[in-house]
Amino acid sequence: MDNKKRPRRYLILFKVFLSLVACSVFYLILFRPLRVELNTGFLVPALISFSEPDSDIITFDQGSIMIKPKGYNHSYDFIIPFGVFFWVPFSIFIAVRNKDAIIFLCLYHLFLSIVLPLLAFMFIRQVQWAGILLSLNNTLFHILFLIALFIGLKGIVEDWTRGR
Amino acid sequence: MHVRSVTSIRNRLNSSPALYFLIKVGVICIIMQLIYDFFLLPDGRLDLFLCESGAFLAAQCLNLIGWSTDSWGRIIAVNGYKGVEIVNGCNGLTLMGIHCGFILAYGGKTKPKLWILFGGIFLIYLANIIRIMGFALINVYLPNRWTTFHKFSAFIFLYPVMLGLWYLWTIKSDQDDILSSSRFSLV
Repeated sequence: MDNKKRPRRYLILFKVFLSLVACSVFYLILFRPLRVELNTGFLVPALISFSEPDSDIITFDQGSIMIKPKGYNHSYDFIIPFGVFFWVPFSIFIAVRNKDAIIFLCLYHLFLSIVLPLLAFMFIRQVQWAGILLSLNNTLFHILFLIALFIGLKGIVEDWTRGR
Repeated sequence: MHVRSVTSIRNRLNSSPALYFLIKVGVICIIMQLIYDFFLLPDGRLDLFLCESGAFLAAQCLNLIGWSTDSWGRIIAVNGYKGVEIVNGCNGLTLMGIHCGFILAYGGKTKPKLWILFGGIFLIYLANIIRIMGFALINVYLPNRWTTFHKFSAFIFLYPVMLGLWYLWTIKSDQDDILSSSRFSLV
């Protein structure tokens, strides 16, 4: 093995570590309080105001909103965009400098930020297919997160192997 | 006009295999989700089997390594401590479906693909049993941290197994590495 390559291999791990720490600090100090405030102060009250009194159950924990309208056996929930499922792959993409993936990830979460509240409002207004779409979104959200994580981690392995 | 637009979409997908792959995974997962919502969830037997067998096997494993543990249906508890109920969302079925979607969409020869598909489902099932053991033990040692542990447990026990299997498949499947970070492009 080329001795000069060895320290350069560790550079990618250092970059990933640095990127994860920087994104975590940014998320925890600035972004997360803002996100919680937006959801508790605006989105959830707006959803509650649209629901029928004493009929729909709308609960919020720090990462997701759960809606259980009257007459439904189980609840429909959606994960609020730009949470952990965004920041973990995002920080890895920054470290491996995958610009295309960063743009795709940002656009996807921006798209969800607009579409998911609309679907939630429609579902509360008894539009049944909106509930099905919320349910499908959960699966797609999960798989896109895992594929994004996979591409990011694969990038780290490739950089490590090349000793870049 | 219609033929031209179909051809243009086909050309676009051919020129961007990563986008084509993502669409295929999405469609497969949507079909599986609909099958789950309309048939498996109302039937309930698959969910019940995964929850009850997971709790039972986790209890047996904990007994084997020295913690006196019992299970009652979906509930598991180390004796003398609070119990944990394994609900449908925690039985690993979602990740098994996602694993199937990825492997089916990626391509490759049929026989090894079936091995990685069913082998992967089995490994995810085993990883979920270890996760359930973790749920029971966290109630013994760090009960205040149960919610945090529950939230991030998939990152510790399930995702590494699944991502490892995907990595193995992208290397061994003899397909173009469309998910390589250096080649990944959606345009």
